[in-house]
Amino acid sequence: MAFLEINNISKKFGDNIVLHHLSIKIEKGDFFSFLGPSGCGKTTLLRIIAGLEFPDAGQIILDGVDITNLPPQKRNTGIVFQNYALFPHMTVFENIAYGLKIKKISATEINKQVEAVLEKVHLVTKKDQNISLLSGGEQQRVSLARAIVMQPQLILFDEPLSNLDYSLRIEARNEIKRLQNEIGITSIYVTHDQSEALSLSDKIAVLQNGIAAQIGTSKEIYFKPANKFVAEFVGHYNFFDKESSAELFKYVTKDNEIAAVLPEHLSIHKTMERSSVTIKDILFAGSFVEYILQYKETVLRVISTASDQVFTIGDNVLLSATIEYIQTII
Amino acid sequence: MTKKYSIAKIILTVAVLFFVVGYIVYPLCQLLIQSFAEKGTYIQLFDKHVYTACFNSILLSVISVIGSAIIGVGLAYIFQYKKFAFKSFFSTMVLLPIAIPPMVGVMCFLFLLGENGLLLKLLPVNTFKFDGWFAIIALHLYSFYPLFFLFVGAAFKNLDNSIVEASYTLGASKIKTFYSVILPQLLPSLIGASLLTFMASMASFSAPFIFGGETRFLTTAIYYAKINSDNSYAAVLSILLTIISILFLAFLNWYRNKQPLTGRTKGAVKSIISFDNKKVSYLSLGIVLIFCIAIALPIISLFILSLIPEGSLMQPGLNYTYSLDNFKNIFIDNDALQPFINSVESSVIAIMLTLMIGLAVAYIIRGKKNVFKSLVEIIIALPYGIPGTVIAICLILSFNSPNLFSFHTILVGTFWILPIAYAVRNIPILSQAVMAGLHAIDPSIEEASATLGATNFKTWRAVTLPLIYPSILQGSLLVFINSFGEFVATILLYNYSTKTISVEVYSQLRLYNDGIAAAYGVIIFLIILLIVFLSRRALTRPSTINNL
Repeated sequence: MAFLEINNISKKFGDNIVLHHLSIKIEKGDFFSFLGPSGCGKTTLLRIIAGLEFPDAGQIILDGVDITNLPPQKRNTGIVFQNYALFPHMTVFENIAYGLKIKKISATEINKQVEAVLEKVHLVTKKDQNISLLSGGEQQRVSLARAIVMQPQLILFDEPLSNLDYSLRIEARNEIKRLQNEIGITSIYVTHDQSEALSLSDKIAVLQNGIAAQIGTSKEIYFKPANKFVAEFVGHYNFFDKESSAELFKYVTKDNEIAAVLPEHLSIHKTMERSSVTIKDILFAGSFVEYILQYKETVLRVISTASDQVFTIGDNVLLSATIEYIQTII
Repeated sequence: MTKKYSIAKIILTVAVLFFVVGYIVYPLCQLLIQSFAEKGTYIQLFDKHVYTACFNSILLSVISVIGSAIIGVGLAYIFQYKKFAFKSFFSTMVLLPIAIPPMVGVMCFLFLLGENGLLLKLLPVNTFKFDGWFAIIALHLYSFYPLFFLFVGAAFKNLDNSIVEASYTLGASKIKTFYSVILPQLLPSLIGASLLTFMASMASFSAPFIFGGETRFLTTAIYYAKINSDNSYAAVLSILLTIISILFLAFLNWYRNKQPLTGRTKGAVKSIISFDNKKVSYLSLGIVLIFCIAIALPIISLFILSLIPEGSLMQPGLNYTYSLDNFKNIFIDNDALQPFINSVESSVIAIMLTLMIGLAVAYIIRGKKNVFKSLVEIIIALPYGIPGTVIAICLILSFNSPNLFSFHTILVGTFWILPIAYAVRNIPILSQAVMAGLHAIDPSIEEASATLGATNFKTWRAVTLPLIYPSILQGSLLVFINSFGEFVATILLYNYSTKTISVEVYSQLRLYNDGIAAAYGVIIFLIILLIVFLSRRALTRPSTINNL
């Protein structure tokens, strides 16, 4: 039996079906992500696990105990909210000590535990500061500290990095990964950012309209997408129907299949001959170049790390892909 | 900067200074001078009567604040977190007391619970007498709880629900979460509502005047001193009342500024989904329903009284013949119509005065702060802390002889003293509204206009004014509502030909002409309701930009 079992969960808001007979199993110590576009049900699922919403049907079983109908106070889960949800009228210390005080732990013990966790998130010097004086990144770390100090069975992240600047986001992401490795708490991470999910997770569930489109490791999701939705959402795959696949790659697909290739697995070459592929736009990003190509009615994306190659907009090019990188998707 | 603009600014500055000095600073100085006019007036402060009046006023205010807070916060909580039927209808119902000026409120309660009140006829109790402290407090709670309901209700709506959820997931119970997470977030709005309620209670005149009997409060003591022509005693008491009010204002302002910034959260505030079962929902509906009936009963009594012949209340039983005779009497009889006309005229003039001065103040204060601007801002806000009774005394002392600001006539006893009093009382409200509107405008919008070649005045007219129009409209309506039913200052300033609708209500009540008084009350109530309704519609309509 898995550590956390999400069994057949369904949830409706009015007529809107948010989760549809969803089942996921999460092993102890895993860093597990729910990945999907907005409205796919990922946050609702997280809130059901926390006890902030209750499912219409199905069960949540944590470590062999059915917690489906337990209120949030009775569950041992910590949440890091998207907006951090820090208590604005309390200091850093008071925020972190809040849950411990409710547990009726002695003042000296609380002090010790808060100090220890502040050490972990590198905020010892900010202990007595007011929340409103902290930067976004610091607030995010206080929020994390407040959750882990309770030593929860599960820690839930609700898009915790979406309010941070790009450079801070990378830093905070590494910080979360480091802490999770260190503490080994089972973590569930909700995000719509595939690069975040791919880099952080042991396993990912890609959610689509309330069902799990695919569950697997980062590599499985990225290199072996289960359907067109996953391929497009996670890897930004290029798609080719039967005719184009045959014309471009001499690759024959079955009638009901389409060929899918990652942008970085396509390559372009200069040609003197007339070709049906032209360069529409070139986006130079330093370590790589992204080419936007026009092929008949479709727009294709190619990413090349050979960023010193010389192409200009309007060039006719030859497109190629190695056979083993061509996926077939139903 | 063009020269034309400077001239406009100079003219506006002069106008503002004339108003500020002539109708706020000079009258206050007159009050001070008068208080020293006779020897030994300040000795009277140590008199037992003064002490008692002072104590009564403060006690009444504290009780009013606590009672209104309990009712208002409780209601706001139910409306925010419980699901029940007809919620939006009830949320309008509980705000009805706002449309009832104090004197009309007194009358409503008299008709319901007074000696021959409708409720007492229904219930077989003979010993109950609606009078004294009980009656005054009941009226205060009735008038002031909507402030708490509005302020705290707004705070509840802005409350970031994720901090409540965070508290739950950290193991806190609902009760623990309420007092250690929710309540601190409500504190600024609780302070705001307490401040308004305390000041309004200190300044309250109608209820203590009618129900107080021998119990003196500061406001009624000032009134009787003035009626007995003891000007310097009235002045001393006025100064005492003003000092208490302003001290309280200063204390709460200091306390509010001491609080850390709250509610600084990013991200969406999620709407609250209630998990309550049917039982809780029916219980909430029951509580709100009973409360709304209690709110409506005094108003219903007023309507019934306005529709039955004079003197019907004196007869036993509840079999009445209903007619519109009382209203007909008002509109046929020119004498009876005059108070109505007086009220409308003086309120409209008061609005125009406050608008002119309020906008001029906003225009000259906008931009970089300096000592002069800060001083104007403080003085303009000053009447907010001065009870209506005191403002009336100040104006009487200042304009009972000709001077520059009275345009060399005696203003006391004329019609003009009323709109001036209303304008002085309401200038803080209007300029606050305009200033709040200005504060919400991103300065870059005005800068954009300037870079596109508009002069400052053009920017003000074409960009700024349309943007603050909703604030101006709302401020003006508040001024109208406050002026239209004004009684406190009017009772000291009117004469027979200039008496207003609320003074007429009072004198008709004293003559036991309940029907006419009730009819006037109904008219006041309906006009205020109509204005509130119209303003809501005007404010919710998408703004049109074609009138630039």
